Amino acid sequence: MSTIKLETSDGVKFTVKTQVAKCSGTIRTMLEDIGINPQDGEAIPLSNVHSTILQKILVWAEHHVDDPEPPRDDADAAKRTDDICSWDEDFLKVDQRTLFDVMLAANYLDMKQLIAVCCKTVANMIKGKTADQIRKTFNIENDFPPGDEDKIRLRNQFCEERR
Amino acid sequence: MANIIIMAKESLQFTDLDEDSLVHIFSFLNLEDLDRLARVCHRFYIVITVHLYSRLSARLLQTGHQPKAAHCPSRNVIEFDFRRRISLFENWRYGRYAENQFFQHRMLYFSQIMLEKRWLYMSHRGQLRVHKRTAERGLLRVKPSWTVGAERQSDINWMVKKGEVIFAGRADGSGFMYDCRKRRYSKQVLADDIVTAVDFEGELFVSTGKSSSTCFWTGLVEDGQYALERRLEVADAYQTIKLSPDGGSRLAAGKYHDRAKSALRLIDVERGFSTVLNSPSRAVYHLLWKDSCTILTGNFDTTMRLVDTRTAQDEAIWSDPYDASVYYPWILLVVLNCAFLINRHRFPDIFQPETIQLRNCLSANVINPIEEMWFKGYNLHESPRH
Repeated sequence: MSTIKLETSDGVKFTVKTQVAKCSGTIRTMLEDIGINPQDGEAIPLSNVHSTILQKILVWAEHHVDDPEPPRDDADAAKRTDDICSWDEDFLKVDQRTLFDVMLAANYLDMKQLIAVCCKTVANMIKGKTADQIRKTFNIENDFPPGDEDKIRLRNQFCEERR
Repeated sequence: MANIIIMAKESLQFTDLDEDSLVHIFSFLNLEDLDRLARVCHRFYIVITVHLYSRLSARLLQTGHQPKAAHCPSRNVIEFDFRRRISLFENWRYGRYAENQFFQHRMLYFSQIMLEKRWLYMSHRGQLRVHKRTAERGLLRVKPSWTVGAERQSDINWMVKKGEVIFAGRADGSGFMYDCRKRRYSKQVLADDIVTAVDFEGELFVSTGKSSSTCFWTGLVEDGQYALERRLEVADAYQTIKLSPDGGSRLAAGKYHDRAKSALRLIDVERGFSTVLNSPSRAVYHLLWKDSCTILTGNFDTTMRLVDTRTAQDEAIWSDPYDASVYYPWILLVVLNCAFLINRHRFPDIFQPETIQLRNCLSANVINPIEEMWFKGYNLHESPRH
């Protein structure tokens, strides 16, 4: 079983099974298209990913390494958020900061499945909440000039009536 | 202490995510959630409007997509934002307006509507429903007084009522005459095609199909049952037809699609040849005769045109301020409290000032009040002939 080394932004080196590392589209491209040779023992630098996050992501990749290719994303398909598997649900029971870090890193590493799961998790945190509750949940400041929020509410009000 | 502040600043927040990630997350949310989320902060509002509302509204059969129309550059179109386009579409599609009690179904199907002083005739799918209006204010009774046919029958695409007789064409190529006084129904076979429009005048009956031809028939009554005998067949198929009010010597006909922009034709009923009228339109959805010389048409290019058959050209052009194709020049929706919701006015909250009192128009026993209103130019921005 071949392995490769990855080096994170804080200089920590990870030795990873090549197959697991290839969950990342970015690393796969590096290995297959650009032709970086892992046998050299040289680590692939991942300058945008912190070691704590990479560790987490590798746990995820290890678990999902044998997953079949996802079906092609159909733009018109109904977007579901209730199809997160329970393992992923547990995996993403982390604080918001870590969640967003994982999401950004997954973006950088081009791991579509992981991004989708993160997005669904955040979407689930938003669903059914009022604007105030959303602000409180994500610690967001209301930066509308006074009155503007009401304007938007009024403008969209007709959408909420007569359901 | 300083350390903590730096930590807090470095900590990644929801709002720090890049636009693509936000769009990806938001794409899992439904409209209600998006509406609430748009009020959270300015950045979300922008992202949702620019990336989500616009994408959703682009897929809809909608209005307001061409703020400047070629035929009238000075036109002042009411611009809807993306969100409003979505709601207008949904209101229309799912019948979310005050009048939906009259349509006892979830989705609005295009209906044929005829209004008389005492009655409203309305087709819904395969059924013709007749609602009585109250004597005092012309309000509508929700429950139909009588019906013809059943919903599950083939859709009624067109119907015409003259005197006590109704003539209608269905999507399966059949049609029927119905004598309202004798309550007698006679089924007819009109075409082996979808019947798009029908009309009649005295003994002369006309029907046209979606892709085949236009047929002229002679209708004879025997024992209260109608029998149709084919008189003439014209090869062209039309979307809408109407016999001239001078006894039906000519037939005004509009094509559903004509690349050469000559969708409006005039057919001589006796000899069957057709003339193209100079009303440069690609598609005519609906038309009616104002008098024996002028025709009013509703067009795909969002205009309503007044065409004179003597000069064979447009005399006036109005364009719809909401930039919607005019499917039904007289009316689309229904009567409530004597007010009409004309054409696109399906949302009273928005269009309240523009709904029009019907009472004054209802003097004759059988009239088409919308036609009257049209000429008063309500809501229509007249544009010069081009």
